[in-house]
Amino acid sequence: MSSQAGIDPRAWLCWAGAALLVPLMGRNPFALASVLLAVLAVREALPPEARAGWSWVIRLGLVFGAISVLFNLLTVRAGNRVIVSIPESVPVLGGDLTVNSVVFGLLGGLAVLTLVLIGITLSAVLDWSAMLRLLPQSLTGAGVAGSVAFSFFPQMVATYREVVDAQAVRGEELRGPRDYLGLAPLLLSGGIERAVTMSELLESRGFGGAPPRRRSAWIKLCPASGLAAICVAVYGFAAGELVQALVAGAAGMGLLVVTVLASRGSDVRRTRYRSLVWQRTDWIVLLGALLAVGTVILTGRDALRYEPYPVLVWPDASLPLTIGLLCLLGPVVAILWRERAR
Amino acid sequence: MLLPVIGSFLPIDLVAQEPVSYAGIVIRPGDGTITYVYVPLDEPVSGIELLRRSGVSLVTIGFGAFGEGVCQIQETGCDVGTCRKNVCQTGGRESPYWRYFQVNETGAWAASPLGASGSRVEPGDIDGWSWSPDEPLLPEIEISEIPMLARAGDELDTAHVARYDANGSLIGGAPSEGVELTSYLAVTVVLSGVAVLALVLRFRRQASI
Repeated sequence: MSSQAGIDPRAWLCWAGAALLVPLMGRNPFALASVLLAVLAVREALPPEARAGWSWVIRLGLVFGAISVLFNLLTVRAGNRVIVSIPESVPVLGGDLTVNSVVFGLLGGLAVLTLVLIGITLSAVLDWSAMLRLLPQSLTGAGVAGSVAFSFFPQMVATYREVVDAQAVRGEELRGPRDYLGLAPLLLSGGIERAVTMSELLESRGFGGAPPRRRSAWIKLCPASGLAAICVAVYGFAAGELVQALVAGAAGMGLLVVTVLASRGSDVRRTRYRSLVWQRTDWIVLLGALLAVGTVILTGRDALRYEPYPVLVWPDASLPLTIGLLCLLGPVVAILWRERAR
Repeated sequence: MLLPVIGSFLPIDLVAQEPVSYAGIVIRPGDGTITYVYVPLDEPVSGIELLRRSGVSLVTIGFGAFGEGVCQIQETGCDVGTCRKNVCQTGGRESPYWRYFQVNETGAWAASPLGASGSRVEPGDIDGWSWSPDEPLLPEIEISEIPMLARAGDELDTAHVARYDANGSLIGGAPSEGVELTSYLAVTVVLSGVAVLALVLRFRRQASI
């Protein structure tokens, strides 16, 4: 069973991981624009049902972007391009308002919008139940918690859509903030209902049904320690500490391998009605993601960096980096390929 | 008629030469580049305050009554922890740190007898910061050259910073060179192509509904 777009969830995860690198690592406007446009194109290639209902999240991202610009402009006093000087006697706001801070705020907003778009694209297309089945037995608990957490937002969006449709049928339209306030209890109760349904479904399928096996305290610590080490590795990579990142990544992977080995021969035997099949189109998505990551590594972190302080300078425009990042269009190729094959 | 009378009360220096209302900073981070900074200034300030007003990225730590120590200017220097221990020095004789200089009466660079927190910089003065263990290695310069080198142009009421590489070429200026313009054009064309692709996909979906 694949996602709505017919692409394996593992390929989607690799794609999202590659796309997240740029907005997390730098503020180069050309690199950010490359990823943003690639993600927008992927969203446009998705089936209409996967895109519906998310526009308000995008609007929310735009609002946060605007707040980022305003906050930066009013709080940062560095830069060589002064727009206007507010007298020092004015509390908090006194000082020079600079173009540099506006540029940095805009780039921050662009990065936030890109992250939001990647997140909602992944939430819309990923089959979380299939992802859960891919996890080793010992990580099931963490997987269930993660799955519930990740699927909460898409489920809330679905509930919102249902409520709005139902009210529209009754001739009611959401106009002011007061109307939206009335939605809160409905969204909350809908979310709780779905969570209860999901937990019952998981229970009926044997997730957490069997008594836990006796394991040493060290083995019990392995999954959490492994995940923590991998988080440290990701942070180290983003912060440019490659050696520490490699060490933490290797330690994390080692701990997870120990966890998987220790969980062999579990009491609960899970069965699958339909297994995931890795297809040719999934290779396209995976290859695109790997090429994008490879380009980022080869061009170096400096190509992704851009600092408008203290002097506003022109950012670097790297054609190889742009082309490499546009390999994130892999899902577009895969979706169009599948459509043509039908 | 009153002008000669007023002129007779003015200090000799002001009559002799036009006063300037700015100060300059020259920064040598030791990588071959030199940064020139123009800072509008109407009143005496300390060297640290002048650096702050310049907008150059700066990391300092306080040493109580001794004032502030400079750990990092732009990207050169050390982190706060190392700075607090030994102001970026590793203990060796050749270990560099941010040394503070001022142009003396003869126009030469001289190490400031006071720290940057205790020094006094007046309009027309030039401060020098060199990442060096001893010698300043700063270029000789006059205050009148600062606005031009810092690319102040006509905007004389704000601070300006300009950095030059070892060959004297401006770093981070407008993309005037052919290669950079070509890169900008190529990247813009490619990104426009992706934007068109996204639009085509959008219209294709709408047409199929």
